[in-house]
Amino acid sequence: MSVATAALGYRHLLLRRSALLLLLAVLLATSLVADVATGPSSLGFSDVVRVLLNPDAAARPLRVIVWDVRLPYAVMAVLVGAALALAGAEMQTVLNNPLASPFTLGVSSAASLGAALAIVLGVGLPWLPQDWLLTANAFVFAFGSMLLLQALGRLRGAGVEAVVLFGIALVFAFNAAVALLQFVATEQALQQLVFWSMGSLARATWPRIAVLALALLAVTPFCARAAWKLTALRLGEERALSFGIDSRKLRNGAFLRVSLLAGVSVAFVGTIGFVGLVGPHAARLMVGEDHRFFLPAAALSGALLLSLASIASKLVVPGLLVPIGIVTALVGVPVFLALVLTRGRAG
Amino acid sequence: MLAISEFSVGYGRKLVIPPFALAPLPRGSVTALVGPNGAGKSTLLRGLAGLLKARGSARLDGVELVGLPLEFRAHHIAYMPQSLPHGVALTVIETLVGALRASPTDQPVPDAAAQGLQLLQRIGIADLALRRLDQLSGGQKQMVGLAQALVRRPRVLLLDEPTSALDLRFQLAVMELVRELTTECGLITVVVLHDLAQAARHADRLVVLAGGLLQADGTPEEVLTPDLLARVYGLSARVERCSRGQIQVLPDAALS
Repeated sequence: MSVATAALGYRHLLLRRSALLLLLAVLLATSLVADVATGPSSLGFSDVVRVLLNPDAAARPLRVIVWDVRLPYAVMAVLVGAALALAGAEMQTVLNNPLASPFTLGVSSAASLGAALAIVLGVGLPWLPQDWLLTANAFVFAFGSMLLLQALGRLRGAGVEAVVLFGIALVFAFNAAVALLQFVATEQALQQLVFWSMGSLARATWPRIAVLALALLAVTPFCARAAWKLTALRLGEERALSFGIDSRKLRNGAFLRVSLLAGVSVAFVGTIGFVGLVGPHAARLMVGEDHRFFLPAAALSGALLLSLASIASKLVVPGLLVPIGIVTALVGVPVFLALVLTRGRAG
Repeated sequence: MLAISEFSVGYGRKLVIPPFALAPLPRGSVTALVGPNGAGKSTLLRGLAGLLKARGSARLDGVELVGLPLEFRAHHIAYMPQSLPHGVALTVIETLVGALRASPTDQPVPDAAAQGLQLLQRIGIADLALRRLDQLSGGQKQMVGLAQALVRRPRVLLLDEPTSALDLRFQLAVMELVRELTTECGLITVVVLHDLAQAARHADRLVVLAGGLLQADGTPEEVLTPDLLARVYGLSARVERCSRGQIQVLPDAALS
């Protein structure tokens, strides 16, 4: 193969990947509209688009259904999916472990512990209004668990494998603490806690959406800046170090971003597993691990997956909104298996 | 020229290589680090690469490398570990572009892909450019690893057992390529090797380590003697030349 042929092939590769990102974005937009159109009072696809584009011209009941009831859920699904999958993608890269995700390394368990403390014991940050107590507790614990993981990883002799093991240990520790709180909880508190931990988009409000969107916007430039270094890190830590990359600094930055994204997401919607694991795997299969493409593809895949799960959560049991955490796992497992088997056959 | 003096390497407070000095390593030369398992060869190499804490002095054309932050050291030195990681979804050219773009450089890299492809062509593996790392054989991976190290145009090339997992054909191909590129680009190459005959064939100079201590330093003819093999490897061995004049090490028995 001549250099010119290879250069052309590389350009085609980049174009194909850009096209895949565009396709994912189009699918996501379609899924978002479909999510808004799906519900007890059936709305046409075109009706939804019309109300979304021109809300003032729509009848008030229609406008309320679309803008105040369904759109917040649908947008929250997209943002949470994007945030968790982006967090999972960065974790998998910096920990060099395909099983790393906010869910598997303790973020969700930590958030559950924070929520349990608020629900069962009423313990939380003192200066916050009561209706933010649970969310704030969940965020502080989720964010704190990532920082704790990062701190443990700084201990002398602790490599990336040790960080993963620390994360798994944290899951068990937090789950045990939650079980203890459940054991002493009143029946009402227990019910509330169980429902919270299922993960639900029903907690979506526009202020919460704005906070999560801001968190995503805040981390995006840092992700973009780290993309080349993260790509090089895939060639191994020693090789990356010899390229002049400060891998510890890179890892710390990624952990901060993961803490923010996962902490805010889990605090707002509860435990939603699998997206942080499946999103990056789907992206890796589609666009490889050039992180200029991999990170946005992971975010888009996660957003699409959770948006589809949101639609499914309305259709599984007609007339009932099943908590999306349940649907994600039900939809995610077969998708994940299919991805792994496809990869096995391709490899 | 790389001048090493009072150079020591360790893990934390544990000193693995006590202070030692070497005669300067000139440009265009290949130096093989040899010695038994656990001699400290890889440790020394990683110390030179800046991956382990080193003390003393290693001056490259007057620039002190010890204590130089990684991002500056990366301008001068390329280090190639023993193997590439598994399960990486990157094509060969992407790894080269990544190596160029991720490295801090004084000058911007206008067309990293073209630079990477030209190097692949020079090495003779341009046809692998769009193949994924996972699809390559062990020998091809080592060639690609070498390309990743060379693409940033270093002055010092440090290779840790580049032929350890390769069949005879690729062992020869990789080491001949290293030799050619060292001469062509005026590199200072230091390579860890286990095979003494291979080291004698491809290196200008052998540095023998055992237990972290320097045992011998010189040309293959000077260094490879039955006495040294007995002292360092605990082997009764002969050192002979084949019909083409190349040095062969023929082990007879392990000494008790």
